[in-house]
Amino acid sequence: MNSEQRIEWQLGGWSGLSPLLGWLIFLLIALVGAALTAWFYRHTLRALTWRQRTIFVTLRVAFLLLLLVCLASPMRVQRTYEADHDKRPLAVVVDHSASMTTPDQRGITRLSSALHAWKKVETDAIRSFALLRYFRFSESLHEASDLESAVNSSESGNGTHLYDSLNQVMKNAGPGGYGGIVCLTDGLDTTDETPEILGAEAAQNHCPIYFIAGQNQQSAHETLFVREMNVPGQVRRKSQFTATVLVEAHGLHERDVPLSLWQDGQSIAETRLHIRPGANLIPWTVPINSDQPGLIHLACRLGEGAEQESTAAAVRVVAQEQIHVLFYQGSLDWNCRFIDTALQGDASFQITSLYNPDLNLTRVVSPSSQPSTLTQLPDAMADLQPFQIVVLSNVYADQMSPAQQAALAGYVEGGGGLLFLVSDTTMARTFSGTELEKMLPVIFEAPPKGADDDESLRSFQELMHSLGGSNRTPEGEFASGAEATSGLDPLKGFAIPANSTHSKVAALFGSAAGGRLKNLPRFVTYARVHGLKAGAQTLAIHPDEETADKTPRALLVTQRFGQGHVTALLTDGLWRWRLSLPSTSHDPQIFWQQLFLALAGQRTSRTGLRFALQPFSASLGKTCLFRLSGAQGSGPPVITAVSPRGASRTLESQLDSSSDSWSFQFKPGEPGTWRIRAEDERGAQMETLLRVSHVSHAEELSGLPPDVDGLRKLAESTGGSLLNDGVPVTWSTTSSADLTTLVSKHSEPVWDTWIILLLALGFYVSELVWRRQAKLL
Amino acid sequence: MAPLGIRTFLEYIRFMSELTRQHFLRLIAAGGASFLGLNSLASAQQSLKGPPVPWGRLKFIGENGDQEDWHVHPHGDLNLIDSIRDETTVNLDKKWNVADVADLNSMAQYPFLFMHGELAPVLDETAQKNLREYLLRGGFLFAEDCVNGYNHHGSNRKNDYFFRSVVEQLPNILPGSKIEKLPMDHPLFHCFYHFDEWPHMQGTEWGPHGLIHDGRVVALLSPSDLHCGWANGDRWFGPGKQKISMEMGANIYLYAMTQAA
Repeated sequence: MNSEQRIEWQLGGWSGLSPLLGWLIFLLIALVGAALTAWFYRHTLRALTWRQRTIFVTLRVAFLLLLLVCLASPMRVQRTYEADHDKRPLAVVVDHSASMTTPDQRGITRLSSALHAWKKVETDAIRSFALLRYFRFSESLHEASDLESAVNSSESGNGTHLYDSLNQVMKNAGPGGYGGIVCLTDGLDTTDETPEILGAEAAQNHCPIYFIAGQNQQSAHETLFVREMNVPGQVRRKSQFTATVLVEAHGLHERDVPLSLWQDGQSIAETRLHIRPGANLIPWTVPINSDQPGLIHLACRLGEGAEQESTAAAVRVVAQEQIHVLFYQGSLDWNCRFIDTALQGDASFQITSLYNPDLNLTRVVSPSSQPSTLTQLPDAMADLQPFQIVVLSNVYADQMSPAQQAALAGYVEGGGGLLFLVSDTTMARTFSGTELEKMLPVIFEAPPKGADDDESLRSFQELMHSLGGSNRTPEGEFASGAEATSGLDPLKGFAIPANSTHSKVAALFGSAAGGRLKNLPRFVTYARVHGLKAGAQTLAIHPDEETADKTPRALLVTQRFGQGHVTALLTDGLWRWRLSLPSTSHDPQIFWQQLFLALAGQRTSRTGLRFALQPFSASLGKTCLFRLSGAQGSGPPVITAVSPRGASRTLESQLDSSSDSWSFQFKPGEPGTWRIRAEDERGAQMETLLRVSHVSHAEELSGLPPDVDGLRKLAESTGGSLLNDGVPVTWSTTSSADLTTLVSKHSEPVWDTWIILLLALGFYVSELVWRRQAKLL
Repeated sequence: MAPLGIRTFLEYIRFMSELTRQHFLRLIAAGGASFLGLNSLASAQQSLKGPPVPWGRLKFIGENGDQEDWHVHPHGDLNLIDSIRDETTVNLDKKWNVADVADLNSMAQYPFLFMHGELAPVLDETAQKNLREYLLRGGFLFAEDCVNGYNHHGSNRKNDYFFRSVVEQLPNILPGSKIEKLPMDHPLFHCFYHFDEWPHMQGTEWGPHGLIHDGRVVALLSPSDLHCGWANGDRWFGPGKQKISMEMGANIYLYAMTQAA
């Protein structure tokens, strides 16, 4: 970031004057003042000597000059700009191992496929980064002069040292490091290294990693398995939740396979998945209704006959879950009151309302609100833990200390939910570059120029003042004119993004009793967003406005951050929508309650039992590292590995207090499908399958499919993305001339006005004393 | 028009030439310290301003078909808007909007409506239905007696026709509600400025009354013509009256905005 500092003069209302112009005006007024003072002292009650007159004029002029200095009010203004493009170079690293350069039956290599994808984004990369540096690796890393020499090398290594090579690229970077790393690879590291260290190094160096997965139909055999079954660990009774099954398959031929979901021994949903030749990663989402408190046992069955696999999970249903919400209002508007009213309709919401102490407001909370000792937004993570959701409403960045922002970041990373309400682009822009901004799923635009006050209103006020404060005729004329132009901007309705369905949004906002939101929310003002961050999901968009690159303007966006989620609602607090609907309509209540339930549910699902880290496959002799999160209870969860032959063995785990998860290792002793089961003290259960292959992962040409999902997760953990999905929004698409964006502006007075005023008064007192002595008073 | 500072400076030069010792001391007490405080307070207030919020004046028909009484002294509203913008962090949009009690859609644009008149309002079935619906949806009404805005009843400073009429009509318009006089320890009087007594400009001193529905104050009814204090309080009611009426006006808007469910 660049910053500049300059002095600006604000002469009694004029701001932004340069020092030279300020001095000129200052001197002009001082001369006029001195001349007038001398003129007024020409005629006094008593005759004065020349010396007396000079002293009086000097004292008066000194007083006036100092007063003028107070009015001048020079400010030291520091502006910080953020360059729109990163001046650090981009490293392009090409995986030149055998698995990348061996052609499939069509003659296509994974490297050529990755290169083809790179060509689509290369222009944007060149625009965004000042310089590109090229490398290639297989078992060792080599620098290349250009892309061609990196790609067309005759050497193809028999190993893939992916993580180590990328680490070396980062370590050997010049001053400032790289602005990013793009790696063309299939993600099949043949060493025993794990990606965690690489991810941590990249995050620490602020060096996002972007992967381009090279894919072809090279495979020694077909694979088909459930990679992940994602269900919340705990849900409320009479609510709806979703189970998401992720199926990974590598096929040599096209075929269909059946997939079904079973609840407590009964089939509740079935589908057929279409497998194409090559790599397939297919998600399947099933909505499930919870009933009475207890355990729901779910099983997912993939395939049929002898090759059928199943994996299982258990979801706990609770009677009532108190959702504690901390609502922090940074500046005054009608949000808190209307949202508070909407949530009060459901007793499971406990709201603690806080107003920014600088607002000087004495607020009496309702008896139904949660009593709290908090007087301001906590700056320690522990104080935020009792809340499932924290709402920041109309908060300026400089209202929050670094400690408060860090506490919020830690709270969300640990699984908390954050709802960020902002409808004003100016306000939103103040978060650029802050700790909080890293969590937000959007990048804000520069604010538009605000409208000036209507001068005619000022004129009318002055007219009435001059008329003595009351006159029917001008009042009537004013009222008629105002009535004709009265009214606010019309309400506009949320729109649903083209790549989602209405039912998806309605499922998010529909009531637990099965009702559906009849009316989508409607708004007036919204904050403009330049783009979304990688991994952000848009839930609602503006019905007709678009950004410069023709994408719809986002209104409701959510994104995962660590274990938690951050959701940004970029519109006003929807109170006008509430006022526009009949009093019998409950749609605003449904919207707010379901939105908050969804936010709390995301935290609930994260606190539910899940495998936060698991290998997608293993080979004989390879130690696999697992991490289990969301286990409740004081003791470790019970983890069991069940062999393909049905033999069980208990695995020991260790608590990782920094991530609040349990880590364990497992080295499979026979090939086949192993079941890894976990159960915590409250009875929540989760199971995953581990396919152990005869083929060793350490073999370069193992025939394993590219680890696309693993590459995506690793990239996102560093702030990057999988470039096969598209160009990241943070890469500039405009010309990289001197585009800079104002990030922050800080002003402080050059001198202390209080001291100068005291000095001025001193001169005036002296003049009065002399006037008394000269019998002028 | 020259900025305020320049005009102040030129006026000050002339004023200071004839300043006596007493006037000087008064100046120090009233102006010198506040000069500095005002600067820092103003810049601090600016950085806390939220998104703009609107002000609305309610149009209604008065007795005998009067169609003017409702818009008496609109500059009073503008003066209050200026005061709230300057003295609080509420970003009240400086626009005099009109909502018609006969048109619910126009009312529903404003979370706060100011209803003011000297004559008793004539609320037909549509107006009553609209008012009821507006309050049930979450709107807030501040209804105040203008006492003798356009001298419909002469210059009697005890007129209370408007106040008595709304006190009688509103509980019938909103079933399940009741009118209660608000005690001085009510949060309305302490949410921003602190008041030990209700600032009464003119009219009959019935005191401030709230229309309570489901435990919430949905309307404030005042016989005390604070609005004329906003319009020209110092000249009409005495020094300091404009300031205190503005402060009460700020409290009313802030209370309506922030009162808990």
